[in-house]
Amino acid sequence: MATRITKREVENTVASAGSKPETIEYLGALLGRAVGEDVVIVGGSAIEIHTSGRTASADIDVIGPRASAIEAVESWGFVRAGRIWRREDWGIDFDFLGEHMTGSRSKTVLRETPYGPVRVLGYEDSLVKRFVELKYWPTAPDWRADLIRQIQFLLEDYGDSLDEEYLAFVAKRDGVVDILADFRERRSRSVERRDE
Amino acid sequence: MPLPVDPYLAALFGSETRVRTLAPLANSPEPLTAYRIAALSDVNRIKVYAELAKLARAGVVRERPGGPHRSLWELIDDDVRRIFRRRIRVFWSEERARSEPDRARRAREILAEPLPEIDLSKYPVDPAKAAEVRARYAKEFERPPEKGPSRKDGWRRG
Repeated sequence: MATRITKREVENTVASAGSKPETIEYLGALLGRAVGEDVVIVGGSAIEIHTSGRTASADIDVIGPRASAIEAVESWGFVRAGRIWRREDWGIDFDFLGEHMTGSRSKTVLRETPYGPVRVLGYEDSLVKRFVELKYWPTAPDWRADLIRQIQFLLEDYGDSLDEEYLAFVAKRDGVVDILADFRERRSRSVERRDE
Repeated sequence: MPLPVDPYLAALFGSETRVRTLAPLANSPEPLTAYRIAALSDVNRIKVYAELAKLARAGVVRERPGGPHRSLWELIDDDVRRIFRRRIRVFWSEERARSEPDRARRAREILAEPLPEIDLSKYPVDPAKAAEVRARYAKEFERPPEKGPSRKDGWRRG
């Protein structure tokens, strides 16, 4: 059931966040309550949450009911700027990607916040999407370096608790089995070096 | 918001309510009250108590005293815990805080090493697969100008 979240409540929530990943989580939680349905944080902001801010994202990519999400953030002072909704004084952008999620909802991570729970794209889907972007999209060197670090941090923190069957399925579907294997091998060697 | 239920787990454990009751326990570093389990799983508390009673009789969970008029529940089967953690993830702020120093240390070790040199030419691209994948992810990866990278480095807050 949707709940009316006032602009003041959102402003107080953002002020209470201790970090950028927390801000993303808190806004995601409020947005979910405002629209009365699951929203899922995806993309770079999902990875920023998973890595506790060691990687950075430009905006908050959201999967969820688009119309009601837009209505909610506009009531919070966000203004449309092309495809995104922006609150200039916070430097926060939302990108509403619609309700179709390229990834598994059951693999999303439910993160508890003081403002309610928020769903974040799962580790396997986050990894595969970064492999996909590396392999299939032209990327500038600095962005490529960011992608590599995101992959390294995700594998380091979650590499031992991945759903291997699902990861293999998605990697095969998206043609990134080779690059996944390479990064895992690099991680193994890196861990060996650090343990010496 | 109810936890999503993996159909594999629902089939294995015979009940979505049971899966939703076990998921917070499997993901928690500490025992939980039934109230907390119900809040996290969005299952009616009476149903949670009923499931916990069945699971306790079967030796899957255990009840512990948690203070005056308060019980805590914990999952005692590590195999069940591992199965759940691979399929339903719930993350609490307490666990994040506890694991953060170790994660930060490992991140510093990674950053101390040179960035891996990735030779993308080693990963041949099949044109048909590329077209399929690009269609699948187009909306996420095609960034309009207003999503510029200049906003990545920190936010201002009011």
